[in-house]
Amino acid sequence: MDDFDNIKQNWKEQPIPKPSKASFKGVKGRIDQVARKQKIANGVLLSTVVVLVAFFFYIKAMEHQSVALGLGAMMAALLIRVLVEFFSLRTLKNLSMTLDIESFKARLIGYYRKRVGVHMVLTPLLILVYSFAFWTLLPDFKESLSKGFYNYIIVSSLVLLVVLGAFIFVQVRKEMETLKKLQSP
Amino acid sequence: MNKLDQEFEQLYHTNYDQVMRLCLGYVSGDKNRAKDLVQEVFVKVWNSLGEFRNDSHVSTWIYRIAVNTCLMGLRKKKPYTLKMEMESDTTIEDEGSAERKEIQFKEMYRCINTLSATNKAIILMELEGLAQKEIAAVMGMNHTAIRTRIHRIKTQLSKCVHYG
Repeated sequence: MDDFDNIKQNWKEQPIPKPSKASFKGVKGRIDQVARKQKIANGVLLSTVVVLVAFFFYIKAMEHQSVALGLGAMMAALLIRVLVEFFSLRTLKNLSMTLDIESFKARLIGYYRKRVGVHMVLTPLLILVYSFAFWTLLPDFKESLSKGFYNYIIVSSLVLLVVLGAFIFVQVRKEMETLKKLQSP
Repeated sequence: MNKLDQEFEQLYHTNYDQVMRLCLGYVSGDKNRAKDLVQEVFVKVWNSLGEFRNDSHVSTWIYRIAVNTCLMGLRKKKPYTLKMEMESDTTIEDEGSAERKEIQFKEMYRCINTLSATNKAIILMELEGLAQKEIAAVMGMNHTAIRTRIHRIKTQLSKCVHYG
C-alpha cells in the first residue's frame, strides 16, 4: 500500500460528528435566521437614510449655505460608503453557489478585486471628502458649541480617523490574502 | 413537515458525511468550524433548490455548493491546531494506537493544507472516491486535465506525508 492509499484509508476512517435531528433543526433555524437578518439589514439602511435626512432638516441646515454644504457632503460620503457595502454584500450573497468551481472562483476573484478597489480608492476618497467637509464646519462648531465640547469633537474625530485607517488597513490585507489564495492554480 | 422539508431532511442525512469530511479538509480538521460550514452548505443547498436541474447527480450538485461555500469561507480562515478526541475508556495500548492515529491525521491535514484551494477541492473529492469524470463536472475542467492534476497532487501529498 503506498502513501496515498494510506491517506485515502485514513480519510474514510477519521472520526466525524454525526448528523442528528438537532443538527438538521439547526440548519432549518439558520435558514429562517438568514432571511430575518436580510430584513433587519434593509431596515437599518432605510432608518439611517431617514435619520440623516431628518437631522439635516431638524438643524435647519438649509438656512446656512456653508453648513448645508458641509453637512450634506459628510452625509453623502457616509451614505455612499454604506450603500457600497450593502450592495457589495448583496453581490456576494447572490453569487450562484451551483456554478462549477472554476467559474465560481473567477467570479469570486472579480468580487475581491472590486473590494480591494473600493478599499484602496473609493474609501480613502470618501474619508477625504468627509474630513474636508468636517474641517469647513469647524468655525461654525466653534461659534455655537462650548469650548469643552468643541475640543471633544476634534479629539474624538481624530481618534475615529486613526481607528478607521487601521480598520481599512486590516480589511485590505485580509482581502488581498484571500485574493492571493484564490488566484493560486 | 411538508414534502419538500422531508426531501430536504433526507438529502441532509444522505450527504452529511461527505460534506463534513470535505469541510474538515478545508479547515484542517477543526470540527467546530467544519460544523458551521456544513450548516452553511445546507442553508445554501436549500436556497438553491430551485436551480437544481436533473442534468447532474444530486451529490455532484451538492459537492459544487460545498466547495464554493468553503472557497467563500477562506476569508474567515484562522490558524488551527488539530486536537483529536480520545474515548474515555481507552486502555494504554489503545491510547498508543490512538496517539499514532492522531499523528497520522495531523500529518494528513497538514499536507492537505499545503495545497492550493483548487487542488484541495480536487483531492478531497478523490479521497471521497468520486469518479474523475464527476470531479471534472464539479470543477468545470476537462477529464484529461483532472487526471493529470490528480496524479500530480497525489505525488505531492505522498511526498509530504513521507518526507514531511
